[in-house]
Amino acid sequence: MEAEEAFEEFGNMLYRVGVVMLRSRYDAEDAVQDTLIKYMEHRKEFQSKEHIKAWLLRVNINICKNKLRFYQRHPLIPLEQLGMTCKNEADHALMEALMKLPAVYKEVFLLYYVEGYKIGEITEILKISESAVKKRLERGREKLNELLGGHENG
Amino acid sequence: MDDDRFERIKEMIGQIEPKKDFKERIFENIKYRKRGKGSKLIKYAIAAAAAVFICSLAGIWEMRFAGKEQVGLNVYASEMDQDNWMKLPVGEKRQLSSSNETRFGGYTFSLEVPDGYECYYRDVGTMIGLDYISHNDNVIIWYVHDDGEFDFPDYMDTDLLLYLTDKDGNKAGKYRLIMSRENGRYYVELLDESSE
Repeated sequence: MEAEEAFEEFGNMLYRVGVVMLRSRYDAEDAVQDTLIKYMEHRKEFQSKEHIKAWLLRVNINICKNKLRFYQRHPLIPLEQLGMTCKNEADHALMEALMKLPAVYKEVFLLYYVEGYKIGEITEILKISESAVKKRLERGREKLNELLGGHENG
Repeated sequence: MDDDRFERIKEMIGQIEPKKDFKERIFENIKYRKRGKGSKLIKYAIAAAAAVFICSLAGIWEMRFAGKEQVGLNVYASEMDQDNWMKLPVGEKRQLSSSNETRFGGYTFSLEVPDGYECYYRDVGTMIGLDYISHNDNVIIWYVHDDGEFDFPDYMDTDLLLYLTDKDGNKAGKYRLIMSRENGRYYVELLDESSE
């Protein structure tokens, strides 16, 4: 699959992952760009479209993590500034809380809940053990609950 | 309910859209970035040529190696912020930490470029964990570190490629430093790919 085709197919998905991971539209665009460059330089054969998607997600997430390293004190940009609209106050609080989560929890949430990957597949993408994925999902949910405090009752 | 909460998250994230000219800008930037990389290589070539010229004038340049002998590259690894440097032999995979857990903030690799050689380098692979590279005189330092939040190096799968040229710009060596993670243990391997 050519880079342009891969972009058409998965560009928006990578961008959305970047926005949640980095809380910045500009950095998310950069991450997609860097991911595509890696894709163009990658010489191995992919087995399927799903394989390409998983590879792109992995690289994109890792690039986001590296960007976060460089910008340790990443400012928390309000959702409105990110162009996100929420139906009500509870949804707004929910998204704010998600954005505030540490990267290790956000990445498993994005893969599990948003992209619909199974735990076994996430172990392959993130190169971590199954127990680590489960633990991060569990701790992430706890952390999300903590952050939501009294604002969210489910 | 958790399910409902994540359904809502999924729905809201699904609504995030990039700006309309996203694709055009990305591909324009990629073209520019690729051009930028090329010009960097040209700069290295010009610098190498200038060095040759200056050394020739001074009469100190010898064609001792000129690709005829194998170039020795010294590579050392150390735990971050420690001074326990371990020399890495070529072609032998070495475990970096004695335990399965990293007790520290990562690793530092020091690559000593032999006298009389120029070098350039790049990282390859699915990355990541490559934090930054510094290059002072003949020493290249590759820092791979953890800051606590990112579970270094769960996702380690990256190589540092180092190309050496003599001062005449002739290819004199190619080395690959590979960091990997297998069964929870961290390894490094230095390969000499000069003959490729």
